Amino acid sequence: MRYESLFVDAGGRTSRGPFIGALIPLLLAGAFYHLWVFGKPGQFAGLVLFFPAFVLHARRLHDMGRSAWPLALPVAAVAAAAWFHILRPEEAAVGRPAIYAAIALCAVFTLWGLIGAGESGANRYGEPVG
Amino acid sequence: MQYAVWFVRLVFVAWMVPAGLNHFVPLFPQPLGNQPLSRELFLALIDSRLFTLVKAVELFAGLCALTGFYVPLALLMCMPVAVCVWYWDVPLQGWDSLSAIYGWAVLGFTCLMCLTYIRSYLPMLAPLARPRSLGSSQTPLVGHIVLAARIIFGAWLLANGISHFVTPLLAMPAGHMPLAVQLMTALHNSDLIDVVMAIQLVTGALILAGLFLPLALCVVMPISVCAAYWSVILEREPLGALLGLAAVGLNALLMVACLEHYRGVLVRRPLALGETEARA
Repeated sequence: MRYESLFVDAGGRTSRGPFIGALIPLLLAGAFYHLWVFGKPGQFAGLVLFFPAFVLHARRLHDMGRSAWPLALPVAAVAAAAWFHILRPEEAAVGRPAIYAAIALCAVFTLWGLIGAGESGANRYGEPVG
Repeated sequence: MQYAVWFVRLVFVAWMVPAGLNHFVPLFPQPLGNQPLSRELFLALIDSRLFTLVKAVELFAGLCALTGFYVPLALLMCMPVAVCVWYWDVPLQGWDSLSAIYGWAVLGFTCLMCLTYIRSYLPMLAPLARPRSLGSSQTPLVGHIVLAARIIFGAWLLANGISHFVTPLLAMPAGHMPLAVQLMTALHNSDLIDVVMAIQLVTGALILAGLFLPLALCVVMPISVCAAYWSVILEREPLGALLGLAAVGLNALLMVACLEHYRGVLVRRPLALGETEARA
């Protein structure tokens, strides 16, 4: 396995085992910034990590024979949460629920990736690998 | 192993992209320094626009690591920036300051990233590398040109280093234009000029002796570029500018002559430690 095929190329498939393996360093990197880098630098670092996370989940959905389009939901939720939390911190009344909604949506998709069964044969996204 | 490598890479990417982008699209306040020397150096870098170059390199390295595009090359370009960040954050801001943690982190993660691509850098670390001719065929004339370039460049660097630390051999330019004077003064006051000269002293000796030639040329290239920037863009004195460009030219010529040792660095998508070609 290599970084590019898990976190850069959204076109292929990633089966459950490699998905879990790739999820661990991704979550650890997110935790690193959440715990040790305070303020906006840490928040923007978290946003950057959303790109490899998106690619990883898109590949997992492909492995299940599904399109990555449902990921538009957590993307929109994270974008809205980031807008309120980072750029409009004074609107905390809206920002806080937006963050919780984004976290919940992301958690749902991660859980789906963790428990969803991949297709055993080739599908329109390629051969099963990993 | 590969999980640790990916963790390091993700942390590196998540730091470098916003840190570099922040200069071009303001995202968060840029630390200006709270010590006289760190502030003086920072203002000199900002005023001379060298800081824009620093941030462009950070952004480039971050995007390359994010997308897996020429990562070893981007890391090599980022290393002098990481060293300067460390110098600013740690010795200048204070060894026990909060900035020091960031300085160590940036340098540490950049070194770890380089370590994950150590296979790409190994050919560059050859102790007895011999520069080849430019182009496909080795001709005596080109060989002599390369040898002359090596002796001139090596002796020049060595003389600069000796002039600074031992006995004056070459005049050290102080600058006449305001920005050139400001930057040179900040380099002297922060003692960063000592680091620069120490690098010139060591790399000059190595280049003359023909030891670790590809590595020495690579290490001294950022200094050649900054010297050319200082003389051409900031000082604008014809002879100095010519010498600055000549230094970059000689450095580049010798690097091209050692191109086979840099091939590992120039691979578009090399494998990091622990990675295999099998697609996931």
